[in-house]
Amino acid sequence: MMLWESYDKNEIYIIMMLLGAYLAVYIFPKKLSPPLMLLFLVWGFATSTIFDFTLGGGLFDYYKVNDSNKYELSDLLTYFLFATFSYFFVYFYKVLRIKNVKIIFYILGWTCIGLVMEKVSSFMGVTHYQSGYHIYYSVVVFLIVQTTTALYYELIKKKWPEANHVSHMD
Amino acid sequence: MEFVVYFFLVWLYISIFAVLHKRLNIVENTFVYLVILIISINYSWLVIDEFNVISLSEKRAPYLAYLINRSIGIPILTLIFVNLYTRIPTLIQKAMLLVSAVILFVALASISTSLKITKYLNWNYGFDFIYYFVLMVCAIGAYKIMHRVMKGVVEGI
Repeated sequence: MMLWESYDKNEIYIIMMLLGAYLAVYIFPKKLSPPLMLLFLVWGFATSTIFDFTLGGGLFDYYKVNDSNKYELSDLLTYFLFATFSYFFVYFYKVLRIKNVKIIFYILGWTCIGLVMEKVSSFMGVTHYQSGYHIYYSVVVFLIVQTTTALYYELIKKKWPEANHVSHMD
Repeated sequence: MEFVVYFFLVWLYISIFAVLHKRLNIVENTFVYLVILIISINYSWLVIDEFNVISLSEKRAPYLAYLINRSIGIPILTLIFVNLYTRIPTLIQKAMLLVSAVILFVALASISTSLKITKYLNWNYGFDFIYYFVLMVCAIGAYKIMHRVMKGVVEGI
């Protein structure tokens, strides 16, 4: 485990994105209750971790995150960045009052955003594909992650009615 | 064989969790699950791929067994522990449950070595005991954090 192999554009990109993303979380009006805010930040961190350590490492090893196959601090920062994507997915899901057929278009829209962000990440040296992996395989990952996130949010709304309340933080 | 054993164990944990009278609500359970999942994945990666103190089979079936245990088995079993922990009133009973849970986790880790999914190089069950003890403490901590945050929301309504 190390901080980073070399401090260059991928580290700068991650730090800048991280600052921008968490600033946005802080500045945007609070529409989710604190438990849901915390839950979906951790949800994003966990989903990115599980896919990276399963597809991007171990026996499959389809891609490398940042400069090496070793665990770097910048890898950890990348997962903190992914946490905000999950948060904003649910945030705008609520703000835009997504339901019924809109869910399909919402997920497809976020899949396009995900692919663009992945292309930019690849260009900035954050992700490096190997063992025959191609960016279009990520469509499957995005569809799985975003569909489960949307369905889980719907389930939470049904099982925990307080989910719709925003606390005094607002 | 390895895959079948772990698939059965994970099925058993999920079934127990499904029928268990849960003290934690869906948000608390999910939060604890995700926190334990993150720790479990990072810990496995560190001891196997970074420090090389445990080696992992490179055959497909044992590797899949390892994946389902790491990503589903350990977090679900931890959830069962936390749900039982919150039911128990006395501190001594809580401590006994904690130690029992840790011993169960170590016993399950020994199945992994006996089935040759993992091989301990510079590692032993004593380290496993410490790790699972810390993991259970983290699970209780995660539950308490989320419970406190949720209490604030309910009181604010």
